[in-house]
Amino acid sequence: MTELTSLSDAASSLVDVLRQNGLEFVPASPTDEPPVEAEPPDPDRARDDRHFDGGRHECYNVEPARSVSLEVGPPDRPDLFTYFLDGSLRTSYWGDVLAGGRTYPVLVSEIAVGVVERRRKEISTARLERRLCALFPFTEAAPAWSALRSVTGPLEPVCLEREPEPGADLRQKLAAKARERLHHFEAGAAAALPRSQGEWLVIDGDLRDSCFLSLREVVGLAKSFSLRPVVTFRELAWTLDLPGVLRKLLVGCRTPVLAQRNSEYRGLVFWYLRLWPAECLDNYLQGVVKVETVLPGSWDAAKAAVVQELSAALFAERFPCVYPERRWHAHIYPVHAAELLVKSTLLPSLVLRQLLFLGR
Amino acid sequence: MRDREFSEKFPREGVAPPEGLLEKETGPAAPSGPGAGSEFIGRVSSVERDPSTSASFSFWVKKDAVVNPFDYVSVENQGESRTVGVVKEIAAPTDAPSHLSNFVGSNFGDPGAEGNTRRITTVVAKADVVANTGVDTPYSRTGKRPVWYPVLNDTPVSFATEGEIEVALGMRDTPSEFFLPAGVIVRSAGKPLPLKLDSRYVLGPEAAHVNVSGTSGLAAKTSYLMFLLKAVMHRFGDRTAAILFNVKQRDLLYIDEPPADGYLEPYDREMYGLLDIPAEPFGDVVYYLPWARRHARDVYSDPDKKRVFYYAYTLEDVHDELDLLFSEVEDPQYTIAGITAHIAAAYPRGKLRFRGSSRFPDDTQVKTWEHLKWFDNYPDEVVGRAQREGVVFRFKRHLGRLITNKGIFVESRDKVALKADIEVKYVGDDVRSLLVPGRILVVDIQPFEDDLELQGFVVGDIVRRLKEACRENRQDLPRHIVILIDELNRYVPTGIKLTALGREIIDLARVGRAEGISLFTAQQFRADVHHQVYENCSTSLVGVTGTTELSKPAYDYLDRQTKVVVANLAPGEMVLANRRLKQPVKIDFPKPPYLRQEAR
Repeated sequence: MTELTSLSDAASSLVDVLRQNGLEFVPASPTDEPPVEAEPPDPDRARDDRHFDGGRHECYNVEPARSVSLEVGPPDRPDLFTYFLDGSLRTSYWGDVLAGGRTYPVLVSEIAVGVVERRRKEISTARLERRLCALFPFTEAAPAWSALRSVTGPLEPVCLEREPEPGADLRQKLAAKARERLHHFEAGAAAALPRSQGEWLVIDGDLRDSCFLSLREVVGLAKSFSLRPVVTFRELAWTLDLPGVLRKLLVGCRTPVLAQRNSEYRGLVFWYLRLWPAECLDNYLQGVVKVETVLPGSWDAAKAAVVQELSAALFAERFPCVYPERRWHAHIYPVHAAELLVKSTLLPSLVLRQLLFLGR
Repeated sequence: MRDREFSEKFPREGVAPPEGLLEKETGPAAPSGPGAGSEFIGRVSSVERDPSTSASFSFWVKKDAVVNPFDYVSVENQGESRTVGVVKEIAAPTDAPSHLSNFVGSNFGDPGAEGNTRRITTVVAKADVVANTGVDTPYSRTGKRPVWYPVLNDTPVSFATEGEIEVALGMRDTPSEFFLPAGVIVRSAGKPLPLKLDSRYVLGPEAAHVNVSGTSGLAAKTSYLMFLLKAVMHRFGDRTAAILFNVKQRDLLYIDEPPADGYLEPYDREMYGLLDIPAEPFGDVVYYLPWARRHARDVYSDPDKKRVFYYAYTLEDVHDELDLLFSEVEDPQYTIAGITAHIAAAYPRGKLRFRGSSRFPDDTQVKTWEHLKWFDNYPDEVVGRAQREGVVFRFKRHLGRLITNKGIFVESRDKVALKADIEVKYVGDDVRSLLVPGRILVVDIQPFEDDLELQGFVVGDIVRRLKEACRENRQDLPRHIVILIDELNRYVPTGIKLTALGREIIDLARVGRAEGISLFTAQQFRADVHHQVYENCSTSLVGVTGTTELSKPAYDYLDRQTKVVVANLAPGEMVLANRRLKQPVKIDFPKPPYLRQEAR
């Protein structure tokens, strides 16, 4: 209850600072406004699409292979993965700042990151962080910013790095900023884990963020991904679009390890692994996960062995499954558990809004 | 209530209670397992589909705690009151939303598929709210006003303390002079607690009668009734007498002898100690064996050292109770009823006299069974004129069938005439004269186990004489009289026309409490007994019983979850419901402290 009170106090303080700086703040309704749609319908795929747009769709196999579908076999260490990380955020429209005869939206985002640990098949919480951000449509150059930044408490003020271009959707800009903060927190949580050698971490989603790339023994597991890549298999002298590759991918098999030809992330490789047979699913694009990890340097047998071990261990993670959840066929249970943990810590939307919108 | 007062009244386990209660709550006998000494065993879980209500709540149970159905738990509520609940059902849900989830999760039905991770699961217990300890108020007789407010999500849950259980079961409302120990409440954590019933709701006058049902042999019905009788005689022996009917072998023919060595186990003695009842046999017992059917020397090595008598019936004893003897005989025209009523009225006035008999001189007065068997001078208004011969013949034929070769119907009870080794008595007389406080009369009717009419007659005679005695000289009788009848379904079955004995027992069940007569009854199947008997019982117990039987309306007083528990009770465990208790209670009880036949 104290935490909730201090949150309410922090919100009042930020509003006071705005007013003291000559900015009128008009809060939105505590009940009417729906949460900001901070995420597109399939954020993972949309995010991945961006990585392969602008002519960057060409990929090639870094792992020499004579087949598109390589069997992974049983794992040597079924418990290779020890930690599983997921993050979640809920962003709400808080109100408008009136300045110079114009209005600018202010959002509030609640961000939570959780890591579960698995030992002897039992799951427990390894780390859980929850933060709240007030997202202002200013840059650091704004006169009010230094005063806002000085406000301490559970509601962290966040501003934009660059002035948004004219005509930009400010709400979407702020929502993207919130997602960026989420990734930042995720990376911080992953880095802070007291992992021993050989205790791999699975992160829900891709690793295409600079803060992830420096972490050792981490894989990114994407439930949905871009279908834009076009892959050239050098030994086979085949060039296939990704749906064509996935169509050939059998259950319990993975593709050769791939890399993006014009990648901005050095050492990042990826491959696709089929967890469930296509005939049990709606279409052949389902039941496949995209696995990313960092393997810098030239390809060798040791790297091949690591990939094979990771793939086999991931394939073993398909039990128990989270059917009938959406995308159950590409989900693994410990990540689902981390997701449950994270979502259970988020304040109910109505509670958050009532706390922030008092004094309207 | 201030914190200190509250904690003194309801000390929490794991929190230092006031001096003197420590031993009670966390004494050496308390199990040292998880939950026994810790404060919280879980938290209230109120969810969209299963919210806490004023009647029930659910809570998840921490990993190392053990909770069982019928455990009492308590949760903080408004105004520092505590809501006490009794665990009814325990589930272990997972996050799998359907069985199909698990099927798919096992590689679409591969039993060999084993996951890397165990599904998230926990134990969730559902408890029915029994009581709230209340908040202070001047506007109540008890100074407390209960808070019937649903307990809130995430509120810690702990095992209820002894004090809270006493509040929950209403034991705090019973003045100590009326306490009747009726078994022990076994808890998953902590020592067993004595269950103290309010005797006014067992022996009268507020409510009366006890009925026990359960599977034969496993439910220990007679053992429980005898244990309860022991408790009654110990606590209220100065104002209570009892009449017992022995129906199984020699089950109740040694109740004044100490049990065989080792029969009472340490746990039994511990329970007796907890209940403050001496583990000793009954003191003042008089036995009645059926004349010519059971010999005293076959039962006792030295009958002279016992207060044992034979019982038998002369016509003079029971001339007014022949309707009981004929109660199983079909009598659609009420002709036999007319004859028995005529005998009852004419016999004491000497108006039954032979006329024109070839066997007895004219004017011979009917005094004995032999006379009655030959007598046919009934007036026309009793037997009719047209079918006189047939009606009288039918009566005489049944009379002969009922009393011949039974042994207990005698022309005289004179010891010398019968060449009896001990006195032959009419129990109906002794009910009036020997039934004094602290005394138990045991009437052996087992030798007639294949003769329901005769057993019914013996029981009916005693019940009727007792009721007469109560009506005529209530002040000369003990304040409470317990009648213990086993195999009740034989005498008051459901679904068919009631016999004379059945009517007597139902009448007792209905008005007995006002006359100070309590029925302690037992039968295998409650549903086989006339509903007017068990519905009038303030205390009902059920031992292990099959689910088919439990599905009958006679068990509607138990909810679904309780029936599941009943179907799985261990031998000797009972679920007890009493008008004064707010919920049925699962109890254990010690073996009765007397010599059992099998140990002889």
